[in-house]
Amino acid sequence: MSEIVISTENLHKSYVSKDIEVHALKGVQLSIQKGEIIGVMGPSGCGKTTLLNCLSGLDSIDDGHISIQGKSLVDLNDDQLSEFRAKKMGFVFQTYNLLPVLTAVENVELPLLVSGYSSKEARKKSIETLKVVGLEQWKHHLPGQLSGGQSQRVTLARALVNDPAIIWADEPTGNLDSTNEKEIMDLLIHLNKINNQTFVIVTHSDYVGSRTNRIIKMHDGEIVD
Amino acid sequence: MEKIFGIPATELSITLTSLVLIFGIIISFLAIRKPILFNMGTRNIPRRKNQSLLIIVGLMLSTIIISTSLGIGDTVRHSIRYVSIDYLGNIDQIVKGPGKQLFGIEYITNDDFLEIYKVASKEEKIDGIMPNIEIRLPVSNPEKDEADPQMRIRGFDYDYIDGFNLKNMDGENISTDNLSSSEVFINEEVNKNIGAEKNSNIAIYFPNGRYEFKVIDIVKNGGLSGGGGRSVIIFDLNVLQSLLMQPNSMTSVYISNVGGVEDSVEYSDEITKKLRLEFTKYQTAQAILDVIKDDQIRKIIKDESNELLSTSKELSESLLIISEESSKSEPSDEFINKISDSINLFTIISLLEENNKSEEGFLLLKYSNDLVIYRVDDEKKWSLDLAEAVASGITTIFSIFGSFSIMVGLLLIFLVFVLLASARSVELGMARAVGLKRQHLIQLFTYEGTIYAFIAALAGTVIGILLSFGIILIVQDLIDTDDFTIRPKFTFISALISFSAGMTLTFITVIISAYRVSNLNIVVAIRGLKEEFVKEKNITIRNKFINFVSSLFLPISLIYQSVINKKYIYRNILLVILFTLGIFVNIPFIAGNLPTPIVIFLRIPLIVWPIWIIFHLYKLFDRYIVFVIFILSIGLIFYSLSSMTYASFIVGCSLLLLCLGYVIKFILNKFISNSENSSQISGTIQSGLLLAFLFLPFEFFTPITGDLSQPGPWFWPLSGAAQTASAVWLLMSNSRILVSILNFFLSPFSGLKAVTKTAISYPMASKFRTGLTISMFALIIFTLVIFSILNNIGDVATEQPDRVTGGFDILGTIDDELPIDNIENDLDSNNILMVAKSSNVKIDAKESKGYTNTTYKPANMIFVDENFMMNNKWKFKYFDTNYGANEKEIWEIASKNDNLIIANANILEDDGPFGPPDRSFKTSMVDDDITDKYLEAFNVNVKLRGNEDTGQEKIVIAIIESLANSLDFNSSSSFYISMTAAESFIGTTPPVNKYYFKLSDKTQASRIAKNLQNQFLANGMNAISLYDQIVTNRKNQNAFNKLFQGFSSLGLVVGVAAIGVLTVRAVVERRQSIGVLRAIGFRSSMIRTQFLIESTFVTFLGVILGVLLGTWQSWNIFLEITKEIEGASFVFPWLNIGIFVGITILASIVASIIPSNEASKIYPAEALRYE
Repeated sequence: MSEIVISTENLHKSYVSKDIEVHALKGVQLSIQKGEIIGVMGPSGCGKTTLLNCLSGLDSIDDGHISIQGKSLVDLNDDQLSEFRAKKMGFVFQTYNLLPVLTAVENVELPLLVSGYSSKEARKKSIETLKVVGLEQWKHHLPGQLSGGQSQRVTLARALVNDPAIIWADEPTGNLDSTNEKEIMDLLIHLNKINNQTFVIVTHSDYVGSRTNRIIKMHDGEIVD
Repeated sequence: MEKIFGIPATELSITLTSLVLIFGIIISFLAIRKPILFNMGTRNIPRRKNQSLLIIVGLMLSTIIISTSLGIGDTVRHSIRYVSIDYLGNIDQIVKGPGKQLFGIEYITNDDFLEIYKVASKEEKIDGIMPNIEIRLPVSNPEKDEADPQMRIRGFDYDYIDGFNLKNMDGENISTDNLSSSEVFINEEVNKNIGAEKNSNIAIYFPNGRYEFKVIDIVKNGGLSGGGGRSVIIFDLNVLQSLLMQPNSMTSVYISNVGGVEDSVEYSDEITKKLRLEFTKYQTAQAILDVIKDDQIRKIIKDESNELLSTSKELSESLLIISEESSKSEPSDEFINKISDSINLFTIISLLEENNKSEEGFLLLKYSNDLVIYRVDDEKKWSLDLAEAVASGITTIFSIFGSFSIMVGLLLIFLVFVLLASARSVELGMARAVGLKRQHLIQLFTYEGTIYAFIAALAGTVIGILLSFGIILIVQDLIDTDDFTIRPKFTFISALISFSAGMTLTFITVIISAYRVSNLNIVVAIRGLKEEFVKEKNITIRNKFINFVSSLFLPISLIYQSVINKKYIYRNILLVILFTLGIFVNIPFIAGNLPTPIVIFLRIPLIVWPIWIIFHLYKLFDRYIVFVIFILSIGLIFYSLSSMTYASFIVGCSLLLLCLGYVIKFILNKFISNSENSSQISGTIQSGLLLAFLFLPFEFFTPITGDLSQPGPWFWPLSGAAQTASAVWLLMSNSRILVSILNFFLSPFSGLKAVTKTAISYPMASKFRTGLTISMFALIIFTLVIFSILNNIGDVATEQPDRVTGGFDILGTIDDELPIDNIENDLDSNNILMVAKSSNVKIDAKESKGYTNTTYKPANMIFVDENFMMNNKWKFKYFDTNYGANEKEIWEIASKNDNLIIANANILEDDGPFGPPDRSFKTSMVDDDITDKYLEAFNVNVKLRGNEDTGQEKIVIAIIESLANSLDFNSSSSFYISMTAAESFIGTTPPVNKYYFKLSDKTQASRIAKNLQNQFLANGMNAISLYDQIVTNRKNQNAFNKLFQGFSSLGLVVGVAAIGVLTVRAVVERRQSIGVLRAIGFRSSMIRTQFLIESTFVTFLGVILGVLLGTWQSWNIFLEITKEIEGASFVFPWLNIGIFVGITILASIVASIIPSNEASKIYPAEALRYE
């Protein structure tokens, strides 16, 4: 039996906006195995991104339990969570969210520097990772000088550079055309095969969904399928 | 304050207030027309309370600085006026003898008084004429053992009390008629000074002995009884005449004008003029007119009048009147009035000499001695004018130092609106997308800015008032004087000017920012991608040329637009009317008959017009504008060399260097494909060249250009701003290198590197706003560093006091009327090693035939004894080595030869930028560029002041350095000569009036000075320890330096506020980045540290740049100072500057702590969700 890397029990999360309480997650229960590529799909506002944020420790939960690689996230304080993210997780966002003032390689090496790598090692590893995503020759370019597809590859490199166990991707192809979407997904699946990392992808795209191992469908804060 | 920067305060306030009102009316009109825009613009103010508060704080700093400067000026003016009014009371004018007496007091007779009375009593606007004696004598209070060696003693004839008064402290009138020969009144100050009270006995030392008097009553200050810190003892006139053995004599006649104590001064000009007319010899005035009426001489006088307009307006006006009235065949009243003022006449004499009219100058000098029967001094008006001049001067100095902070404040306002625009870019982009025009965006932003500006100007004015009082109280505490009490004051006019000036400056900056905002690219703004502006539309050369020509004939093109094209008819008609009025108002007749605010307002379009032409010229030439700038720079350089003006030379050369840099950039662009690289190289070359040029030593170009005339005080703040701007430009051009260097040094610390990398990269990527913030700190630190360093350079007097004191320890000054016989016999030889003597006589001096300055000008001849010559340790600036190899040998030879004299440094030409030119004797024999000490001895012709003889030839063999004058603030051109020469020069031995004592133990100087003062009280000796005086001066100088430093450092508050604003903005702008950083593992403390490092880094860059630039500029100033003060050392005040740097950086950290903390608390998911 494969190892379960992500599991939740009775996950609840709500937001209060102008005295109106929005129940974003209503008792979510799920478990994800190591090496899986999971697609989280559903209509807008169903709680996909909230689920991803809660699972990755970017957001707090109201009730329930989250376990990542056997570690309870609820028991970790803010600093421990940060360290956990730095060492065990990688993130890919729809709008790339690269730091515009740093070059591609500097963006990629940032998680390594946070994790305590020496500058030399961090630079070496970052260049290698950029090579993996096919952007070695663009390493000294600023994000503003890269195309959307290239920017997303840099984001992917930044997410992978630390060899994390889990990669969270929130609409990773939302800003890309179909060609770039396919290229990014090919790359993701290729990396998944090589590294056996777990990918949790929030997406609206049927194409992306079709390339995942399993789809979790959400509706109104609950997993429906 | 009557004038600010030479502009009448009332007119300035009306003009500025009118401008504010006009802005207000326009804004209100537009707001009523489209209230939706007003609502959209202003709704953010209550919604974002904290941000609004921060913006208002940022905006009000310029107003605070203006308000503080004016408040200090008001207080100084009020304090000096108070002293004058308290002292003079009802006395408006004083009539005295003709001033021909060489030594002692000049008396006039009772017959003279009757003649003066006869003339003055006919004048309706005179309500009091009081004959009096005023002399200074030593006074002691034996009961309290207190004494004053030189107290004022006055005697009045109570029969003439009309128009004046003498009241005791209970407000009752008291009369000198009731005083017996052993009774006196005293004023309040005597009570404070020597502790005398009602019924006390005081002793007065008359020339014929000591007498005791009973104090009958204490008189309230003001008028006859004096005051304003000056002690006065009052006698009956007859009694005082007998005691002084001067029957039927008096020293002056006080004149009181009708009206109250302050408003009586408005008749002063009229009455002074009438009295001067009566007391001036008509025939002599006619003779003077006959000399001056020559067309060439009149032109010389008129030219000088124009020249003096900016530095000495009163003298300039007087010269203009003399020049105009000289065209008449007989002397007019105006002419006689002006010519009887010796300052005017001596100015004309000097002018004639400068223009090779020595013969005419000599004639005028001869007539001047016989022109006046009695002198009429407009005492009160002069005192109040002086108060005004000092207050204006102080306001100007504070405004100049404050202008750095004001500039920084304006940068902050600009920065605030740049940030505001970037925060609102999406909102504004959307507004544009749904149909708002560019002008609507300008309006939107202007509404918001106007409300901020109004609140900020109001708050700034109030805070400025409080701050000026605070500064004044600190000064009162710091300066070492009991004679002068500072009385806080802030006038309504100053408040109005502060508010309106602050509001206007802020408003203009808001309009510029709003215009910049309105240029935003709609798509880019909506997507919130990046700050980017609309690309210029392609306009054909032909259209650009047409636009340029239209701008040249703007009113005509506006009419054409309205009539032919039927466009903007109403707007254009209004503009045409304004331009036409602007042209008309320049006709002198019309301008002269309109109130100044209206003239200023109507001239505004004529300021806008040239700017419009330059704008279209720039559009026409586009990047080839460099050729226009090149021609302009060459023109300016040629102009500067022909008119010998420094400012235009500097501006011309700076523009030329910019052109050179532009050409280099053009060439680089041909060879370097990467535009970033070529920009970096060309930016470095341009800014580097400019920086190096602006920091060249002041007289670097003098060998090529000759002595260029120094610019006014306004030049230095602008020059400082240009120096700082070029340095910041150089730094920001090389930001990539700076980041690489820092990254290299931080590379061993990976955790820290992650934080610092982002902390440094962000500000370096926003070059414009970071450059602005760095400039703010650099500008202020630049001035503070110059202050600190220069303050230390001036310490030579304390380190080498002998160069100031001449090696003497005590200076004792006595009255001519109370001489000491054989002082040596009375001195305690255990304490006093030696005493030297000197005697001062007023002379006229000129260079001998064959030299340049050959018309007599005022100077002093100081006769000194052998002890003085053989023992003094003053250093020479120049000396003739043919007469001796060093100072000692030169003094020795001068002591033996009555024809050899040694001059003080005042005989050297000094063309400083402040005040009117010095009219006393100057030599043409010393070129300022002489760097060695060698002087070729030269002849001068000297004669007693007022004598008509041919004078005597003397040889100047040395000139003492200016440091020797440090304790003598009123020193004028003087020559030191052996006492043995007095007999042949003036026919008698002059009375000794200064004694220099050398002590066996210098540390006892203060005690011995006090003893000497007591010992020679009967001679009115005022003895001071010279070293104590140096220390006191130094202390007062330090107090003022600290005050200026404190005032200048207000700008640092602006800088710190800017850092706060920037950090708040950065946190808002980079919310998503914060989320990403948290996602990839940044702890919350790392986020806080990142923002703190960022703000500290920017502050640090500004501070370091300021320290470097300030030190560099101080070095240049130091090089100039060492020409004057040999041995001055350049010391970098580490502690003082360290404190400034430390406080600044600490304050920046404090200012950014709150937003940094806020940033660290943002939850990652929340930050990522934010758009």
